[in-house]
Amino acid sequence: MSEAAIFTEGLSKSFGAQAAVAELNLKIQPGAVYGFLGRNGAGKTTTMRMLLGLVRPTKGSARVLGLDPAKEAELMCILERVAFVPQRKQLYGWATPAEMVRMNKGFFPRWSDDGAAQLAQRLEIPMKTEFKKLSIGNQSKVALLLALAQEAEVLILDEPTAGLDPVMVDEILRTLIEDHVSQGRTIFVSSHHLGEVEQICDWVGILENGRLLLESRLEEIRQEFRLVIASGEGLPAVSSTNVVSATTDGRFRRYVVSREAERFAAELRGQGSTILEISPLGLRELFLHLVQKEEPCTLGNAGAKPAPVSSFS
Amino acid sequence: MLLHLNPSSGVPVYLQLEAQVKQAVAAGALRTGEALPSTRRLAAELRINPNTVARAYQDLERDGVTRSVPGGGTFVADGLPGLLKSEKVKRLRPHARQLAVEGRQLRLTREETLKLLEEELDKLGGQP
Amino acid sequence: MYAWKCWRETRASFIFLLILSTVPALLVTLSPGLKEQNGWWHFDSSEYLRNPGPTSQLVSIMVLSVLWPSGFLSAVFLGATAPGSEIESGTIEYLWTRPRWRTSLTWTHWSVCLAEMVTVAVVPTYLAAAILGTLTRTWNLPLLMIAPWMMVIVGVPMLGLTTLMTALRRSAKGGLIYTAGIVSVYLIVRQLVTVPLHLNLPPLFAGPVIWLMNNKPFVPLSAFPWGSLVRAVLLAAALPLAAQYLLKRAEV
Repeated sequence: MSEAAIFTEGLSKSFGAQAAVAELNLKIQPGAVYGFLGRNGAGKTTTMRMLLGLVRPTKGSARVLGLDPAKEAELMCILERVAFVPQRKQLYGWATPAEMVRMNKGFFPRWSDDGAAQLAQRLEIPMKTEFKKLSIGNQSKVALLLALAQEAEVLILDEPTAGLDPVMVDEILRTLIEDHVSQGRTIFVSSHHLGEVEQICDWVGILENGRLLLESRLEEIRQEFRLVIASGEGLPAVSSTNVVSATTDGRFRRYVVSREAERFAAELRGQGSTILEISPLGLRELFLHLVQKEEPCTLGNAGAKPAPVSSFS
Repeated sequence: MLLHLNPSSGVPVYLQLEAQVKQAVAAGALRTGEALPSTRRLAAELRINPNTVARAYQDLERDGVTRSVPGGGTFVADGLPGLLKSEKVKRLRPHARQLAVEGRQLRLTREETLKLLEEELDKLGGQP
Repeated sequence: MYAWKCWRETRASFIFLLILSTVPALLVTLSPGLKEQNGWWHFDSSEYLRNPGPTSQLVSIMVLSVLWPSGFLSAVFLGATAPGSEIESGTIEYLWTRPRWRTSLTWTHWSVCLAEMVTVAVVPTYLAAAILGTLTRTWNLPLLMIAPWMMVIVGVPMLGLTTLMTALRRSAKGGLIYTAGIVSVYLIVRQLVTVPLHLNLPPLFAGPVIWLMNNKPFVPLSAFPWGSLVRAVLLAAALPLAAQYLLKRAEV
């Protein structure tokens, strides 16, 4: 089995008493497109920064391409092969995008001038305007340009499409797929544009309060995950490791089930509930159900060995 | 290629792709021997993961709707009159399942559900 | 490419410092010959030929009295752009995710600043020397020849201090404020101890420039403030090293 492109084991980071990331276990295979989702403050940015050596873990370990970013010598190797778009896309105010490209080129042997020029055009970046005079959208695009033109094996992108208009978002998606995914590069992206994530990602991980609530292939989410809405008096306790979340709304209960929805529904029916609906879930719906909760969700990777925290009584 | 995907329909994207290609072939919009776009290009055009396109292409080839050439490239296979029987059955099954489940939920008996289906088929008329 | 970035970023300050030192130096050099005639300025080069030796000496001292802080000032303003300053400005997320050792970034910046400091010190003094030499037709100008090097020697520890303070405070502004603060405190304390403790401390590292200003460039070597020089060199090395260490382990 090939080495994971990004691997973390018990990765944790606390700032004082505040735990930003807790016991994160990720294993992203080379060539995967992994959507890292979570609310603001969930710990996504901190995780990415740990992968790039900007912040060191309090506990646990991370490996990128098999190398440890906490060790500077190995970090140098990582940085040659990994492209990063930070959340705060701040570059030198006095520099024009053309100058930034020239400067960036010097760091990377595989830089493609033509590729960079083409991409700059596609993204409609005003190359001769000083960075500080660019709009926020254009500033983001410059940061993206620098990362994408690097031709890196792994792309770590923190909200790359934030603040961009839909046409640009579309253009970025196209570029990612055409020039990167199809070359077998690994993409680890965090985004609030769930629709776009749903389109291009293979895998999805949902982070909340520094913990991974769920990790699954998108195919599985489409094919197996179901929303089951049931009603009945005193809905009985159902213990099933397939239940990812459960919320109550008066006499109604909404379950998000990770597999075998039919069987689960049958069980409920067997206990006297009425099943009102079994429907597939879009990524956005799933995300909202998981993080907008009235009862705690089951933690851990759904489908693996989760520890059901809640009792449904 | 004029393909349209509905990401929130609950039907996996690769199945949607397959269905649309087969429809296009059946309707004559895609002719025998015509080339389909490369995985990479189609994925880029549709802004979806190439693996999804690859899977759809694999299934289409398995079903004999398309064939691939050693040098690369996927082409519409010749002489197949639209969809294979197995494919038709596969497409219809989710609907059948839905009918069965809903019938059960509404506490209809098996006979009642089947009768419903027959009535609808009768209404359509045409071929037996 | 980072060296280019350092240059580009300090370019404006560099040009400002260069102009601010060269223009006064030139004016001072030409001042003996500038006279009034018929309600307007007239340059009389004969002034320089009357007593070339003493005139050279006098003008040299005048130039130095204008230029002596050059080393300190350029060090401080150029040094404030050290890598530590990028933490607050947010560009550190770009810089430190390039495949370059943080140590090399710190020292590259330091080197570029040093080159600029040398230029800012050398250009006005040597230009003044060239003009003076041409006008007096004597080329014995020891003061002006060694002046820039003394200014640089004394400025380098300041460069180190600013680099360190910038790394400590993680911003250019914070670095400058802390540098100014430390220098002020040092000067005050140094003055204070002269009375109660009857301690007349030698200058920490500014000795060479003070020695220059006291107009003794070629007295016996024993009179040269070697202690000061040694301290200057040590600080010049130790301060950036401390900055290097701070940044190596920094989290942003």
